[in-house]
Amino acid sequence: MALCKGKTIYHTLLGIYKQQISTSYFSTNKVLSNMYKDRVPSVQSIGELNALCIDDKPVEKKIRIPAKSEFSSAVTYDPIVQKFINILMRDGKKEKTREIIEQVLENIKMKQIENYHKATTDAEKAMVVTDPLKVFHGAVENCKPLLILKTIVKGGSGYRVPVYCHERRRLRVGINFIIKTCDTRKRKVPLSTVLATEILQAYNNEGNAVGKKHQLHKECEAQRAFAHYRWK
Amino acid sequence: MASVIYRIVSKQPSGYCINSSLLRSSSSLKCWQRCVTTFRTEISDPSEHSFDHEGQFYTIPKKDVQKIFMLNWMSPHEKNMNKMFQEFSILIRRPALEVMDILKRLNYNYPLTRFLLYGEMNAGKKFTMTHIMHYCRSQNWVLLTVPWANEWNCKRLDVSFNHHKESLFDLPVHSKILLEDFLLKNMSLIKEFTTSTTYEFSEHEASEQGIPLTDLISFGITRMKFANDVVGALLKELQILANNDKIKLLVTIRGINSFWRKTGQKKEKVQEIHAQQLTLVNQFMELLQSDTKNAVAMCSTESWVNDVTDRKSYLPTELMGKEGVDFLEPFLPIEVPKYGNAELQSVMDYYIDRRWIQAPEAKTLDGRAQIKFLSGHNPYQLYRVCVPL
Repeated sequence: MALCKGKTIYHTLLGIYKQQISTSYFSTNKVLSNMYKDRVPSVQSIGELNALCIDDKPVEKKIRIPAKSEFSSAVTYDPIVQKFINILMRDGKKEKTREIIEQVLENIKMKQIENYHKATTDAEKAMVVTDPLKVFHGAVENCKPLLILKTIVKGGSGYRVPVYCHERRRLRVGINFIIKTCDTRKRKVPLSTVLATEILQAYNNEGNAVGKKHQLHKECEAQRAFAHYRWK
Repeated sequence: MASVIYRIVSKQPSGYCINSSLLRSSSSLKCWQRCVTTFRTEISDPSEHSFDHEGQFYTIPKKDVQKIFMLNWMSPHEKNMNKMFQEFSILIRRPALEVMDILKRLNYNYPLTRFLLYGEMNAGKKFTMTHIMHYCRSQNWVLLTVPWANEWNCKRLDVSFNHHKESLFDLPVHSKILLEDFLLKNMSLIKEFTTSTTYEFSEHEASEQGIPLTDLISFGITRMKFANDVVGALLKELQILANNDKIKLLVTIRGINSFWRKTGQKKEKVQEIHAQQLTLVNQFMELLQSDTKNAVAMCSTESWVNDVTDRKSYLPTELMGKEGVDFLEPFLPIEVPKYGNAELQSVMDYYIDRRWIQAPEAKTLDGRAQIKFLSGHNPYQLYRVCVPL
């Protein structure tokens, strides 16, 4: 809830507009076009327009995409967490997943802060990382693979070829490793606790998610002989 | 899609927070004042707290926490907080100070005074009650607590018919838990006292006159069948002791508005049981209406008792109805409001000290203003908002 409230902000903005303009404008789908219908244009005659662009060249048109509901300038916003939420989401239930991720961060924070306050000396305290976002980013970073396997059909038969991939794909694969290890949990254990333990393990380069990454690297090395098919 | 994200991020961090924090911390007076004022007091004895200490934290010593609050009083969320911060500290607020100020000047020869705490959800009614309970414990009072009265309505355990009155229903397991809780809290205070009269529980079993009170309670714990009758006997004994100036009694009931509602309990053919038909409720209502000296009752109304659909109302007239208000009158109403501005700042200072807030952006004045807006001055929401920070 606290992470990002995109939809609610949109609704409040609509509410502010509704106070100023009568409600009949909002009956149709085209809200914006109705809103600007009655306004007087700032440039009245053609001569003024010509004075603005002297060279007779057409003005460049910029395509403007509306911002997504998750973007915000609040303190609580973080892009990688939003990406994680979008991948974890099932059936468009974003609010539910947001709550789960919030509980995950809470669990991580609780464990780390408890360790921090239990430590007696300053040297031990400096070792404990209490920032949950740092732990989260580190865990995702540790799960990113360097290479992935791609099937390429060559002469009627398919080969699994190790391929270098770009940053976006690596992030998605790394997040998927974490989520898929947690799918095989027991029924009654809540997902937030399992995710929290998995992320804490991945931050220390342990656990099943990191093991999956190592396994993929091994398979890539086994298929090294077909690496040259990448160029053909 | 991810490329869009990165582009925005690269624009964000420089300038926005760092500049503003540097500028304001160097110039403004407010920031300097906040550094000087402390958010903690080292006085752990609540009887010495006065209105000068308002808006400051004090820590309850670990002995008292384990003895009084750990077993039934604290919720799992509060236990987690206690475990995480490695201490149990409370904000000193105005309603608790008001009640303590009244208790210091009260004439205890009058029949018992009733306080009623009310306020919005998560506004901090429970923590004001803990503060007052700690004060009473430091004065060697006997504590009789009902941590969550709605549990008698909702939690379905054993139900049995009462032997003495046919219209009433017993809750043996709940009353056993209540007795255990009472024994653990007040073991040292009631050691010497004995019973004044004989109590007959059935044809064969009865407790004689002159046996120690602890034996009576342990009898109720071991024989669960008579646990509910033992509670009634114990309340009468406590009233007699208080009337003879031997003890002072504090009765705390959380969620008293559940006394005038339907319950989910069933027994054989009786499908719907009203809360007024439970013996535990009747016994406590008798205690509240009696004229015992040296006794104080502290109740609270909670909107958690209601269904999910209508939890917005928090005034006692709306929650308890006319019946409940007529029963409790005369009482002293005390409102527990949400955080004020000064309290909010000191709580955020505390969170920064305990590392609940640790992002450098959130520690600046702009970040503080954002947290304040998002929380809406609500204590629990303030905790929730700071989770990813």
